Amino acid sequence: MRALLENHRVIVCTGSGGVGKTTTAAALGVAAARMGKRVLVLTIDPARRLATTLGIANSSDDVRVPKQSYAGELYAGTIDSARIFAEYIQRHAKSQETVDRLFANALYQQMATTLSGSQEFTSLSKLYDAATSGDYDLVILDTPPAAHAADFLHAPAKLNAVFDSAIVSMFMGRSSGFGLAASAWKQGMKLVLGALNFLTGSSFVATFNDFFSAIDAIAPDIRETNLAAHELLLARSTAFVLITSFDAAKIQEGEAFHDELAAAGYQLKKVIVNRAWPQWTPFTEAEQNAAQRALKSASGPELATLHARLSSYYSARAGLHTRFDDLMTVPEMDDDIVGLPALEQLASRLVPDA
Amino acid sequence: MQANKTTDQRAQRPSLHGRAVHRIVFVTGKGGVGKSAVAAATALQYARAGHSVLLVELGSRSFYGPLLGLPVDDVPVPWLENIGVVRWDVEGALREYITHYLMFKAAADKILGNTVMKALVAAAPSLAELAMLGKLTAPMRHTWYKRDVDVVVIDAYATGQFMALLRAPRGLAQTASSGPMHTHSTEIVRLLGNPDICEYRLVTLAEEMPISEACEMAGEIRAETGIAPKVYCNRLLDLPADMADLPASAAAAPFIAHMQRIAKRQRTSLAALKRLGSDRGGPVRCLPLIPTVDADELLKGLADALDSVSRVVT
Repeated sequence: MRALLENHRVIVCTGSGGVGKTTTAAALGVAAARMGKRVLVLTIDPARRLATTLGIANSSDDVRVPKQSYAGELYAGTIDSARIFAEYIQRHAKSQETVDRLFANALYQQMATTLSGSQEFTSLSKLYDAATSGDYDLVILDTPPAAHAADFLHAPAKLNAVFDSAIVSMFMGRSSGFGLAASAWKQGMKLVLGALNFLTGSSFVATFNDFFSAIDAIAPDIRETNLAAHELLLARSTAFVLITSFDAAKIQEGEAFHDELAAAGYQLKKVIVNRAWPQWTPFTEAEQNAAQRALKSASGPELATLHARLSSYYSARAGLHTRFDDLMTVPEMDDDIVGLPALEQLASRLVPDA
Repeated sequence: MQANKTTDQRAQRPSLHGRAVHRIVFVTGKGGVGKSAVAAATALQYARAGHSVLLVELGSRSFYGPLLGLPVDDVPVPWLENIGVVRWDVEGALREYITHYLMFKAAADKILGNTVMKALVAAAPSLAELAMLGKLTAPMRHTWYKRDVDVVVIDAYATGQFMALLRAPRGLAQTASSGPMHTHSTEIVRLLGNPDICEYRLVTLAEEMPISEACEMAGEIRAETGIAPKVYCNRLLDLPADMADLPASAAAAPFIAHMQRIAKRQRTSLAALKRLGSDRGGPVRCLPLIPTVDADELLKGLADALDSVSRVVT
């Protein structure tokens, strides 16, 4: 784990919702700062208390995490998708008129927040800016909540489809060439517009037209950013970490994700099973028996039974089959992780030699 | 005899303007709270009560397939008695929709195979969501669309995406101000707000983030549909009331300390859910942690718990 932090410039924390990605990303940041790195942790929608700990509860800029004393320095930032998208457009649009038209468009208003891929796009664009700014030795990215770990990887492709130059051109009524191909495109366009017109009425199609003509100007930049971010993700200096929980479905999903990453050329360097068991879980039979005896005499049979049931549950979970041979299991930390000391405790678990 | 019985049951099935009606149960919640397990247990609960149930998962890959060891795809596969499991994705739903309105399949295939269309579906998220809801409510809107079940249980998306799903038809009805899609969106908005048809189950855990998301979401669901969701607090431990005063004897001290923290967290969480008031449909429903790694055992245990919902907080 230490080598992972030592040898990479970007770490992407992936995993499906509710597995503790954000907290793990923050703890990895703490570990890296202890190792002397200038590190930035980019989080998405952190729990309020974690945001407070990191000093980003009331700030949309990257800030130095308060109350720290590490060999290096820990910074944190949140990714506010709608704001970053708006800034991106402000920065890349050729004229204020384009910006105004776009912001007023009904499709844009949906898009900035809910378009599949827009959150991922803003994350990647922010990651790219931070990683290439020269301000940090390491940037750790927490990925947007998704049903599946792999959703993050497919997002840029989805967004690219929207901003495909040929499609934008077709919507703008420009022909991208002559001959059969161009005429097939036109035919396809006519068919789609006909269907849309019929199903939705002409005002909807007009909104579409307006959207695409406004987006036309910045589409090349979006494609370029997407491409650059994609290259950054493929770079040898970028490592993926998968955070998962201990249940059969999540482990299977993790295995499928691993194959997908490998096939696409990304490097999954670590699989972390989070909250694998509570810290009290007995490791030996002697420990188990001692706890049972103590519970029976001190608090009656009720808690003793619960202790026995939970112990065997956690040991059954630990025995679940997995293809990963290098699983890192992290016990459930005491209660919610509140404050920097708790993050440091988790960091010590994740990277004992930091 | 069997045939007669079926006919009788059909006759009892409620109808809306002469169209067959089945109940729709949406199950949602933050990622990781056990939403899919509660959805499957809900299906089991309805099936045990004698209803025929369709358990639907949304998206391009199946969660239930590996979990239940079934080949779950776009045609329902039988799971237990009276339950079929199916996976719906956007493209399939949209294809169905367009096929019907353009009357012939060749055109639908051509349009959906078209890169332009794919871009449009990606660019207009509500289009994809409307397709899903359109498929779901089709039997109630069209006489030609048959779905021979009493209840459809949907393992719906998590928080943000679920709200986008619920809001899509209203948004689309405004953007597309005429045409069949406008009519359908308006109809869907009405159906989603009909308490005789739709039920919303919101699952959470007794933890900070899931609770704050659930509280926010309960209000949003009610505001959007007019129906307050039933709230389920999942994976609760049944702990003695006098936890705080227990002597912490050495060998069990870490366990007791942990249970005391859980007891406290459960209390604050349930109190927060109680404060939801009219944003919550009925009492807070408590579901126990079922300590097993066996999927069947887990789902049956959860269905038992749903049936009894013995420990309700009113």
